[in-house]
Amino acid sequence: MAGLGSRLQALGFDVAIAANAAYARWSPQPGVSTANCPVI
Amino acid sequence: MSHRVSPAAPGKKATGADLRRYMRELGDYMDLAATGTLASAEAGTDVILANAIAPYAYDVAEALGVPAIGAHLQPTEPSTAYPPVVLGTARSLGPVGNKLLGSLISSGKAPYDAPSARIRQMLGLPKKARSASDRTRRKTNSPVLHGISPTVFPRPADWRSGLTMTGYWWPEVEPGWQPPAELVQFLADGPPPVFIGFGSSAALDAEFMLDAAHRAGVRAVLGVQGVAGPDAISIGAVPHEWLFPQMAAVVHHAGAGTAAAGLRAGVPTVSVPIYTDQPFWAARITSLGAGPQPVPYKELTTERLADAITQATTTPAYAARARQLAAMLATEDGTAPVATALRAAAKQM
Repeated sequence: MAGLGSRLQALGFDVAIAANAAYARWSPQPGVSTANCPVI
Repeated sequence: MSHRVSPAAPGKKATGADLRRYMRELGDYMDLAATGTLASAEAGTDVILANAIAPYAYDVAEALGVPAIGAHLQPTEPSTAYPPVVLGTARSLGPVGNKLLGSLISSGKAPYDAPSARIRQMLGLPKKARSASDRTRRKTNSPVLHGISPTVFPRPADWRSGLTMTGYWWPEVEPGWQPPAELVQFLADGPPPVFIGFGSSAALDAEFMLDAAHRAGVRAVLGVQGVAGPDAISIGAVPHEWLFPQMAAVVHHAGAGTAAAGLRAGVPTVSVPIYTDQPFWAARITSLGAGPQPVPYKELTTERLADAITQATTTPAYAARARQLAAMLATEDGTAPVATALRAAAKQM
């Protein structure tokens, strides 16, 4: 989902990764903190 | 306080206690995610995109009067074409069995039910079970975009018209990103290594991975910390888009995004699926001819992993097919249909 978010940002959309803090807390391994966040 | 959900050790089946702890932690996480979703949406949004485990986003959207669109990385709609991905198996139950069990599971209890109910109550929405909301969205042909390549998994014939397969959603490489100098040097110092990494999915340490790499006689780039030597190097967050095409093969858990990244790179894949949709993607990779038979995590040993790595790196047909698939994926643009859907949804407001 973060991948989609970054792509949409590149196209000019204003994107918020909504649940990132929760995902980062759940899975704090470097590099995966936003990859699977559920909502943007 | 941070904590990490860890599965059982490799080569062992998860116990009932493991599964109960996992479900409890998953429920806690989803509750936090629902709170984060509400906070972000209340700060101002035109459209919400929600993946398959975030149905509470539809409750937030309903309360705020904004559209929500599904943005799924897995095929979660009950279908004759595949078993329910939450079962953690790629074994088909037959068309009728797949669809029937998919429907049953979809209407059963899930860890996101409680966050959904809590959000509805907090926002003053009428009581409605998450499964009932799912049924309503199906009946109204609510749109769900799937970031899946039709080259890798063709759109099932029994999907309703609102379910779209867009192609993969590749992450942007951060502008100005530079690879670590020691990694560049490591890659230049010998033949292409094998990437071995499992993200947050597995309880595998560097020693296990190194043993497998040594047995297979390959150099390795490891997705765990603490290794630096002529035969192996640890890495942190490195874009798959940059790293994977430089590998002789990639070894991973076959999560949706990592499986896609490996196929995009055009190198053979060794899949070590652990749970949920991972066996499904692992089976797709094997069916497509881009790697050997998966090594299920619960059967994983260093010997089995080494054997699979040897097969992946010495079988020319895997490399050829992987390159062919990568060329096909390069022609797809999965983000464009999402942008179109977002603009259309925002216009309707």
